[in-house]
Amino acid sequence: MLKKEISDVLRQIIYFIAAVLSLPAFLIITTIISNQSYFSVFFPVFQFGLIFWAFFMGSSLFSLERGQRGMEYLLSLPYSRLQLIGFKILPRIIAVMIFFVAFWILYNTGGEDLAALPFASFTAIYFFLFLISLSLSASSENFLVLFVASFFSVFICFGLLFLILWLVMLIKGIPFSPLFFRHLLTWEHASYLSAFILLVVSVFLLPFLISFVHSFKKFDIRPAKVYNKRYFKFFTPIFILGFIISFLLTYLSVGTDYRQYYLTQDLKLIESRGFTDTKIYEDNKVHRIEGDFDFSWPSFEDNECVYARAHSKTTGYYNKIIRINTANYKAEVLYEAQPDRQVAYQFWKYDQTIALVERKRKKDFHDIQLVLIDETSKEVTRIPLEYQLLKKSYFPNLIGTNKTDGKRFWLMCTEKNRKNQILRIWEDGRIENIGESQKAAFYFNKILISYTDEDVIISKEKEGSFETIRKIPNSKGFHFGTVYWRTKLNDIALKEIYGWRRGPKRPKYARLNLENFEIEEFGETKGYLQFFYPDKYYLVETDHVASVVKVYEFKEGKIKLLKTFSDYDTTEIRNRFRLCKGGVVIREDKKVRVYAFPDLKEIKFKKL
Amino acid sequence: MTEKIVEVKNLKLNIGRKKILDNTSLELKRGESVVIAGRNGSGKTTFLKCMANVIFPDQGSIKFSEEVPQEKIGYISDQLSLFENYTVKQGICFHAGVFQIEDFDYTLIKELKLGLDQKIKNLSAGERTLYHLSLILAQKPEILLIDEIIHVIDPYLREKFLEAIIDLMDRCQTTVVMVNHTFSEIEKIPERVLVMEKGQFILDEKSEILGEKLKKVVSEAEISEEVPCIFQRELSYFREYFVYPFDEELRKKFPYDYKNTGLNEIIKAFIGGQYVKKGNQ
Repeated sequence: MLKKEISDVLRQIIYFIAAVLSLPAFLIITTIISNQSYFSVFFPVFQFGLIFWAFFMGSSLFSLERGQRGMEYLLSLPYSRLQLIGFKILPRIIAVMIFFVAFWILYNTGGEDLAALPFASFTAIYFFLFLISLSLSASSENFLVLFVASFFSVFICFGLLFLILWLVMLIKGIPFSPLFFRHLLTWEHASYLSAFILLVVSVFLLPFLISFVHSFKKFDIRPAKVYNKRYFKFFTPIFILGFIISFLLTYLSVGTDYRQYYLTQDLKLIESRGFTDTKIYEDNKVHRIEGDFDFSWPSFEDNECVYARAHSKTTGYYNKIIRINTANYKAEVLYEAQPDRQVAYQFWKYDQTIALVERKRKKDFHDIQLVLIDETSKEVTRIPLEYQLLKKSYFPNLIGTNKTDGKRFWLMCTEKNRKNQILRIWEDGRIENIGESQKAAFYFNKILISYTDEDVIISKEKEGSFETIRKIPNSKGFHFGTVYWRTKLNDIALKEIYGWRRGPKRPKYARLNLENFEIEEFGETKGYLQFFYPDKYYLVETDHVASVVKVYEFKEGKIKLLKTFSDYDTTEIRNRFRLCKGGVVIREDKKVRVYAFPDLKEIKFKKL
Repeated sequence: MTEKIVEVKNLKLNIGRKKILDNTSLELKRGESVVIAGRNGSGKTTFLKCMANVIFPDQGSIKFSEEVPQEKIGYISDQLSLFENYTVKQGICFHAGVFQIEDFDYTLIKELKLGLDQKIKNLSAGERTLYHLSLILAQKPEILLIDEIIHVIDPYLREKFLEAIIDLMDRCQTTVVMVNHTFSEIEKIPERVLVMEKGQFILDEKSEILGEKLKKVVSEAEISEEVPCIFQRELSYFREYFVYPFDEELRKKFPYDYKNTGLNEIIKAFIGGQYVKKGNQ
């Protein structure tokens, strides 16, 4: 019996592969018309094809027997109904997994930028559709009915999940933000949330599967309504139970405490609670900041002002740049893009200008612009980046700016197929390709650092062109400079820069001496490196086993331990340990502790 | 011939609000050959499918003796259900694999001159029936359940079909349960006749004594209520009453003209639409 099922599934796999392989005939025309690469057209179509494949694998559990009038014969065979399900499901699960692995390989070899659906969303839909259509496969002989029922059920599951989250947020008084929902499907940024979502969604999925197994134990050739009645009689109460459990899990999991803290250089503590509430604490005072904005983390400080990106209320995208003045306790929106446009993670300030990259996501390409904001007049200049490489990339990184012959330029790095292209954008919109780099390049004081597989390349900018002045062997693959992004470095005479590489087990950190161009390793570490303009380098090392956090300072190649935090619970996922320009802020449940640089002594805010 | 091989107890089955089986019970003995007759929709096919594990009753139980594992139950459905995209050879291989048949007997296949590469869907109804039977025979079944298929086979194949069944009964003491409308085609087979009406067996007799137990009374007037009558037929000037169970004591007490009736007429009487059950008049 299993042999028959394997052979049936193999035949279906062959048909599907034949359909996939026949795609070139149809797609080649599209590629010619749209002037796109074949893979860029093929991959999204393949992705949708896989969704239908998952549905087909689930819903076709009995379609062959039904099509061959062999259902009675099948049921009269000396197997229990559960054995029959087992024989049928096993090869189908393997087939679904094989194509998922194929997708995963393609996704990681250039498909990521081309995918019609993000990886996480696709994975959820793919497996949900398979399992739900499988659980409904005995409910109807009509493929169209199964198609509608399966897609509708998946929609209902996800819809209810969103409904529950919305209800819980409403009950708990958490400001509603579409961003919260967006994170659901990109759980790379919120791994604990993904685990929770999987759990909650499983509670929705399980009723389908349990009802199927339960009802199928007595599956026979009577009209489908008899089976369906039994199915729904069992399904309804456990689905309602699933809904209640999901609601309770969500209620317990979604915290009410969304406070974020940032300690400024002059030891003022900024508290953000989403759209509703921003405060600044100092000594024994607290100042409420007027303004309807939500920001997660300041990007940089300059002249008693803190600059940050803020979300759009409607789309959840970061589309605003806000400035909080910690001297007069006022905040203002310096720039606001359309809600459907996004402001990149890195934005720069030089002189009185804030420079940022902004994009509007489109299916085939992204509409990307360089936006320059005059901080005083708030006048905005937009430079459209009409360049093929940029249009297909995610956000390009703005890595530096300078002037040559009185003309300003900006340097950007854009990743394509795991290689970085370094681009120079001029004020008149001209774009030059400076060169290629294996890793993201870094620019400061007319020095450009780029990479090949073997070397770190140091180039010097001279009269507008870049000349290689040094090649430093880098067999261990260190990557310097990323910690300086979001920082203006044009006015600092750097003597050293710090970098890191991914180790086989743990990251390693290193220092590049800019006087003798030698790389000095630090050894393994368990933390992350942070730089604060103009000359502060810190390493935060977390030991989850010992539940200890250590903060080090780097200076001229030496490491100094500033403080060991042994009373911080590193295992509690909702705890926050934040290194700010002014010191360290620890939030554990409702308790907030603040430690100020240089020696990280605890300071108290009476109103906190 | 006395060993009980299956016991069906109080089967109940509804489809929607319609009762298909209503407390149906039956015991079958080893080597017994049984024909279940009845009008369309009386529940006989459903009953057979319940025995074949193709339909689960809502209530009641079907207990096979320990010597009858599911592999030893052969079932030929009225739909002639097989995986019809298979070739004759593939169908045999599959069936032999599932039922762990080591030596498949190709005699019937050869007699029918079926090509092993012929698709099952391209076989005629008669060929398909015999092909299906050859699969079942290879199982050496303890119980053979055959739904209404005799009428789709031509007389030549029908003869072969019945011969094969009789041979099986002789060799293996197989219990055969057939569902059929008429007896003329299969009169060699039944030892026991069951008639089903509205999901219940209203008649269950050995065929050899059925003539003695069931009589017909033709009368212009109504007969006594005390005479056990399962069906009556009203015509313009007279009525026909089917008396069951009949015994000679009844003749002494109620001296009507009790006439003998043939097996086919009895069955016709039960499945004919013009007859109504006494009590439902």
